[in-house]
Order: sequence, then structure tokens, then C-alpha cells
Amino acid sequence: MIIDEGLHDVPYVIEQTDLPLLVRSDTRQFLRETDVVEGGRPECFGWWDEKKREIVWSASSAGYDKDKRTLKLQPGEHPALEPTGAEARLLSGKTVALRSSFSILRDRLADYDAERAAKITGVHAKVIRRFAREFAQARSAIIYSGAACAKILHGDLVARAQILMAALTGNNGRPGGGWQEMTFFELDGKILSAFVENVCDLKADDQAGIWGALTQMGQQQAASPTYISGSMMRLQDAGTRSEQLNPAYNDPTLPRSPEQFLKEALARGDVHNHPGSELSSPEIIFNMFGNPFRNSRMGGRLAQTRFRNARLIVDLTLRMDDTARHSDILLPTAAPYEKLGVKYSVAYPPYFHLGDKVVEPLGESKSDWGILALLAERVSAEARRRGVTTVKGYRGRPYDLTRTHERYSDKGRLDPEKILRLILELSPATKGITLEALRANKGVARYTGVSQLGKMWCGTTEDYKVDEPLVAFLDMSIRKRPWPTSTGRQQFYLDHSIFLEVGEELPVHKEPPRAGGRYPLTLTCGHTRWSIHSAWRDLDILLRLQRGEPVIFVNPDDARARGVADHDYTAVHNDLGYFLVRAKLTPGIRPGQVHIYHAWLSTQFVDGRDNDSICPSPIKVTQLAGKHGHIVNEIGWYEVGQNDRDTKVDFRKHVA
Amino acid sequence: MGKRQLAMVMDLNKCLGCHTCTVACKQLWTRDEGMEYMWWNTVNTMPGRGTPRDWEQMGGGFREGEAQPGRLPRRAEFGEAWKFDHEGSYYGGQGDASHLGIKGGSPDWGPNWEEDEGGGKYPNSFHFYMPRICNHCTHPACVEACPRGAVEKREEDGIVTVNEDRCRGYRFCQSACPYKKMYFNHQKKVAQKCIFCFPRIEQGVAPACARQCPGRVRFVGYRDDEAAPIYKLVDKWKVALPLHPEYGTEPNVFYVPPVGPVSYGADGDIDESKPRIPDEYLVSLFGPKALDALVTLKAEREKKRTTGASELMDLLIAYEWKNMFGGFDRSPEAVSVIHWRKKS
Ligand code: SF4
Ligand code: SF4
Repeated sequence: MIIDEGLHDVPYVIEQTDLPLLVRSDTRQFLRETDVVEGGRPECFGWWDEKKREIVWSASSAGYDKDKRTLKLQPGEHPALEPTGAEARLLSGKTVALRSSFSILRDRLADYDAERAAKITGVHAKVIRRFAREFAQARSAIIYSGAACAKILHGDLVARAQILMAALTGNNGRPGGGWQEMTFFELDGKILSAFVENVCDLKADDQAGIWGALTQMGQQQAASPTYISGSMMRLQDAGTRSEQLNPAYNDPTLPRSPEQFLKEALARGDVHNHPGSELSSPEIIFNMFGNPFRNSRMGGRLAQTRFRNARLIVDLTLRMDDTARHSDILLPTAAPYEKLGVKYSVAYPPYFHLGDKVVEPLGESKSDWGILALLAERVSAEARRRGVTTVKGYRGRPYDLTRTHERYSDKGRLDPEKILRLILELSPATKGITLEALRANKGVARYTGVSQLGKMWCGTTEDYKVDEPLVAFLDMSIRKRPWPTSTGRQQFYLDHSIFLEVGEELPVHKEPPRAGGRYPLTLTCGHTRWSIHSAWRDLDILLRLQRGEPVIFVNPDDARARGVADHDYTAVHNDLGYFLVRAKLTPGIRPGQVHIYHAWLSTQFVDGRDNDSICPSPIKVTQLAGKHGHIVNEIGWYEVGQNDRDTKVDFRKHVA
Repeated sequence: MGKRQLAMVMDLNKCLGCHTCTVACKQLWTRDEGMEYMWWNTVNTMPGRGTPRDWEQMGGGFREGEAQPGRLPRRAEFGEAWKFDHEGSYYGGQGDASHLGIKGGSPDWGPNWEEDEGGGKYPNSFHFYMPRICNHCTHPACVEACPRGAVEKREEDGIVTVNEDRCRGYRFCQSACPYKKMYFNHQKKVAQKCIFCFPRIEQGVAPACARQCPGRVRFVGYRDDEAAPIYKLVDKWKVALPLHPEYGTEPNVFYVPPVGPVSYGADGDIDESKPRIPDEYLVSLFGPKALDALVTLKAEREKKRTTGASELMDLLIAYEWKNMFGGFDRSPEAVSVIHWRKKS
């Protein structure tokens, strides 16, 4: 509709997005310079000049001459958004017709008029039209996206469609506009103090030294990563594989089984964050900063799988959560107000938040850093005593055990306060902010700058001024620096073979899968106001302000149809099993929806089965793509995730 | 009539239902023996039966100046302070059979039983949150009902308190209060209630429920302070109204009624002219003046949206939290000792 009514911002779309770039009609892949020029640049993409009627290689391309890369068009350049008669002579001598990704998009969008969208969403067509027009015509419009990929199977498609809408209307990189999600003020000092040896010798004014350390760290990680993807590990040894890979729970239009996609990706090495045979199931588990029983779908199965197979399980924790209950040794950590720390550095409140120690840790508990320091000290001493020096670490990486403590504590120079000072000193975002100044101002200070890393990773901007809002992507929209994608543009067309195979090269609508079987209702979940994830979920004074035990929210009509009344014990079930909860009836829930707020501990359910136990979390096959331009399998960049909101269920009154 | 009267305004358009107020009050005042079940501050999802359950049907208060009969709320109607066996469940060696449930049976009511249920029909469902404390009424039924003069209205600020030394536990006050905001301590056998945090007030600190409210819902101050927000919201702009004015006790807690979302028409379109919260419902709570208040609120919202300037909206937005408290803005930290127990 936005395009039909001409509400899209054509100059912006031509300059900032991949929509004018040319796609081959034979392979449906982008035309690359290598296709037509002997020795051409591999990551170089072209558009059609409508005046000169020829291909021009886009200076934004990742493979373009490094120092000439820009989004800016040169005088006399006229990219066609929808070229007619464009073609290219391939090296093979064959001539292929070319289309822009915009014209392919336009064809696709023909399927989505407001009426069809109304059918899909249940939102009236008039409302959709009004929303589209208001969004397109607003001076600036924002989409604040909270939960997509980690919640629903096709969350990536949803997010891509949202970003597309923000791009068509010229909002990305516009003050007050654009697609936003949870971004951070990157604190370089945090990464440096965690990973770099001799961090105490780094000086804030020696930027070259800092960059050197960061680069070295990056190279080390690339050569032999010290971490692997939790999702891939779960597939291997958490007892969830058959559900996660069940084709019946996945996209029904997939041409092959999810298992085949996975095997192929592993064989091609596209997914390298996969535990090898050396980690088939760990003998010793040292868990910290997380509660995998609760935060993984079907997490309860760990008890019968990974946790049963392990010889020793140590958990560093601040409460008796489900993981702690399944561990052998608990190392109690200090709670937030019992230790010095930094709170989330999220970008929407652009303030550094200090978490200070106001009371001593309770009982035997200690700060996390302190516990690990003691362990490191002991490991070093024991290694020396036994004469063990270098051991083979994960993926054969050599590690000198006797130096564990030396490295951990930077030769005894680090402690929590020193680390905090290093973070403040070495992070451009906190330049000039001292611990003393923070303490004098209730632990809060406005960030004073932005990190180079943040710029690289989150596409932020260097135009940050204290006392002015931080506007993301100005580097691209104003300075015309390329975006961090293959095409150097906001890229909506993804020509990796998996995307082409499953028909997701452009954002499309796909029916939600039947995760958990063919049941009429959908289980949804969300953050509760009563806890921060599972912390404080079991606090009695807060439970008294609820119903004291887990509840689901259902529409009164759905409840009536199943003979369920308020507060009845209700079994929510699907192929995977069931969980028992009390029912709460509310017209605020859409018919067909069964809602449960998150983070109940399994012990709070009357028979120990929790809502996560029936979420099969099918894998999204496109998340197995890799080694393709910016689509690279990396932790925190692009990897297989989990989801829960496509879970199909029904419920019935439970009679004990 | 005393010298001055303290008052509170709560803007229901901003309440998140987070219960920070409830917990702030609980931690400060009602942790002693016999007080476990008390929540001097409650927040309930409306429409709903409230706390204690169906309190609006329990009578009390005055009609045309005549005291009305009221009934005693039962303990189960407030809800009990359920206990949980953390110790046994976490350390009792029961493995996966352990269950952290409510000890001793399953209750059928609690202070926030109907959280997030509300009314209407999907997609025109609606709900809002209504926090309640004692209204520190100008014409307090609880004071009048007590034969021992144990319930007192303070001369200097109109705060209503119970003199526990005089109280003999007759509980007439509980029946008489039409808002059912008088509690009974079954251990100590005395009536207890919200004290508007008077030990804080005396030191220039706003009540904890107001000071800790993250929604900036609550305004505090003297009723007659023309420069402060209470007077402006209640008397000048007339957008803050007492709950159930027909109960005749002249409450000093006032509510800005919720505008709520607009409804979907039968054709699925957004119908700007029709609010989802029925007018009749708001009138049943706040009297006919609720409709005038809504008209004013909507007009001023529009003014703020189009011109950027509206005294009323600026007040309600509360850009500066300190401006909400009519001078009671000292930090509790800055106050050396708060005497909240009787000096012995
Ligand atoms: S609300 Fe009830 S307890 Fe409070 S002053 Fe009024 S009558 Fe008394
Ligand atoms: S009044 Fe304030 S503290 Fe209380 S529930 Fe509402 S927003 Fe939360």
C-alpha cells in the first residue's frame, strides 16, 4: 500500500537499500562483478543506470575498493529502481535478464493487500490502511521491536518486514525514527578487562594499544573460539533433538527435513559453533550467570540428559533455582546490593548505572569475581603441585594451568574495584567518569561518548552529544558510510541458497508452524511484573499479591467451551505432554490464545511440570546459513535460537 | 474541622498496577505480628470485586448525614498471608517431587485475586488499576463509630489514626468505614490502618507509596495549598474526584478517572467517539462529575498534542517529581530518625 500510493521515499530507497540492486533471472542470486568481469570483485553488486542503460557497480558493496566505499551517488548516476530491459552478458557468454530486488519485492507485495493482511492478522483492513498511511506520512516513525527471533519461528521474517517498512519510509537513520531494538552502549573496558592479559598496563590515551589488544583478542577467538553455541549444544545432548527437528512442528512448506538442513550446514562448515565430539556431553559442568533449566525450552529434560551424564555439577548462583536444585555443589554468590557492579548499559536510558555494595554478602556468599579468583588460585596451586602445566583446552587450544590465577587477576593487580575503574577508564562511553563522581551522584552518569566497537556492531553513530538524544545510523544516513552488510546497504534480499530454497529471500508471510501438534490454541508467554526473569519469582510477599501459584490467562469463551471456570486446575497439553495450572479468565486475551507469564520455577507447578516442558522450539533452517557475506555463523551475531510462541495447545479441566 | 487537611491525588491514567506502593507500605508498616495479612495500600484491577472482596456491598458511611449500617468484612474476604515451604521444598531432599505450594490448602481469595481480568469483550476489553489507601476522610465514619474515641483525626493535618492504647477491639470502625480500609489485628486485638506515613510527613517526607511510585501517579499535599498540584487538580481543573462520593465521608484521596482506549466499531474500524470503559461505569465509581473530568482531560490532551502547551497536562505528566509533593519532598535518607514507634 505504501508503494502503491507512492508514500515510499524513492531517493532514500535508492541510496540506502539494496532494492535497486540487480538480481539474475536464472539463479535468483544478485549479479556480482565476478559473474561478468574476469577477475571481478566477488562481493560487488550492481544497479542499472537508466540514462546510460548499463550496469554500474555500487560503491557501497563490501567488495568495492576499500577507500572508495560510500553510499553516495556520483553526479550523473541514475540508478533505476525498476529497470526495464536490463541484462548482462555472463563470462560464459550467456545473456541473462536482470531485475532489481525492488521489482521482485513489488510482485511479492501484490499478495499482501490490506484485505489479505486482515485475514492473516485479524486486524481490520481499515485499521491496517490507516496505520500504514500514518506511519508513512509521519515526520518520523519508530518501530520498537522487542521480541522476534527468540520468540517465534519466523521472527526473522517479522523483523525483516518491519525493517523494510521503516526503510521504505526513509525512517532508519532519521532522528526519532526507524526500527530499533535493544541496543547497548558498548563498554570496551568490560571486554578488555575480561579477555586481555596485562589489561592493567593499557592506558586510555593509547588508543592504538587498545585497538591492538582488541584485534588480537578477535583474531584469537576467530582462530580457535573458546565458546560454542548453547542452542547447538542443546541439540546435541539436552534430549530435545527429536522435537526441535521434527518436520511436523516446523514450517510445512520446507522442501526438506530440518535434519537434512542441519547435516548439510555442518558438513559445509557453515555452522562452526557446534560442539565437536570432544564435547558430546560434558563430564564436569560449571554453571554460572544463568539458569538453563528455566531459560531453555524443555529445560527440565537436562535432568535426565546432560546433568545426569555429568560426573560433577557446580553452580554459581544466588538462589535455589531449578538448576541449583540439580547441582552437586553450590557456590553462593553475593546479591546485587552486596557487590560492586555495572547495570545493563542499554541505550534507551543513556546513563551509566553503578550497582554499588551497600551491605556485606549474606552468610558464606561472595562476589562472583571473588569466587572465581579463589578457584583460579587453587587451580594454579594444584597444577604446580602436580607438575601439570600446559593442557589441551577446547579445540586443542593450549592452556597453561599454572598461570590461571595470574591471568585471571592480572598478576594480582585486579579486584572488583580495580576492574570497575578500568571499565570506566578504558571505555570511550564513560570517558571522564570516575567511580567517585558516580558515587557522589547516586551511581548515575550520562554516557560521554560512544564506543568504536558499538559503532561496528550495533551500527550506532559517532554523532553523539551529551544532552542530545543518540540517533542510530546517522553514519549511514548523513555520512553515507556503507551499512555492515554484503551490499553495504540495508539488505532485504538474501541470496544464500537456503533462503532461496525456502522462499525467504525477501521478507514474506509464512503461516505459524504447528509446534507441538495439531491443536487449536496458541500458547503465548511474556514478562511478568512480579519478577525479573526467575529472580524473586518465589518470594512469598509477592506471591500473596498473585494467586500464589502459576496461572494461565484464557478468554472466557474458550474456557466456557471446555467447561473450565475461574481458578480451576487446568491441564494445558499437546504432543509433548501437559502442565497443570490455575485458570484465570479475561476478555483481554484473544480467543484462541493461552497466555502464561514467564519464569515460574518448576517447583511452583503442582506436579513439577512447567510450561517450557511442552514447547518444542523447532529450529529455523535459515539460521543454519553461514559463510555468505554478512551472514556468518557467530555467537551473538547469527546463530540458531530458541522459540516458544508458536506452541500449539489445548486445555481441559483437571480432575484430581 | 481541623486546621489543615492533607490529601492525595492518584492519576489512574498512569497507574501500572506494579504494586510498588503496596510493597513499600508493607515493608515499612505492616510486618509485625498480626499484621501479615494487612495491606494498607491495595491495588485492584477494575472492574472487579476489590479488596476486601465485594467491599462496595458492605455498607457503612452516611446517607444524607445519617450513619448507615455496615457489616464486618470477614478475614477470608481480605485473604490470608499464605505461607510457602521454601525450606522443605529446596532443602528437604525431595528431589523433583518437591513442590513450593501454598501451605495448608488452597485459598479462594486474596488481595489481588482478579489481577488483569477486567471487563468488556474481546477486542473491546478494558481494565485499569485502582490503588486505594485510607481516604483520611473529612467526615470519617470510623471516628464517629468508635465509642472510646480511639480513632482520632489529627488537628494539624487531618490524618486519621488509631490510638491503640484506647482501642478495645470492638471493631465498630471496621463496619462503619464504607471503604473497608480499617484492619483488625487479631493478635493484638486492636484496629490498625493507614497512617498516611505521618512520621515521615512530620519530617517533610512524602508517604512511601507516593514517593516510591514509579508511575508518578500520586500527588501529595495540603488540600488548601493553592500553589500546589492537589488544589489545582481538585478545585481548579476539577479532574480529580473522590471515590464513591455518595458514601458521605468526604474522602481526601482523589482520583483522576481513566480515559482508556477507544473501541473497535462493529466493522472493525477504530471508533474514536466510543470509549471502551463505559461512561456509566466511571459514573458509578466517581459520580456524574467523572464525565466532565473526562471532557476536560481529552480537551487538554488534544491541546498538548497540537500546541505543546497545557498547564493541566504538564501537571499530570509530572516532569519534575518534586513538584508532585507540595513541599513534602525531603529524602527519607536525609531524615535522621523517623519515630514510628511510640517512645517508651
Ligand atoms: S476511609 Fe474509612 S478508615 Fe479511612 S478515614 Fe475514611 S472512614 Fe475512616
Ligand atoms: S500507584 Fe504507582 S506504585 Fe502503585 S501500582 Fe500504581 S504505578 Fe505502581
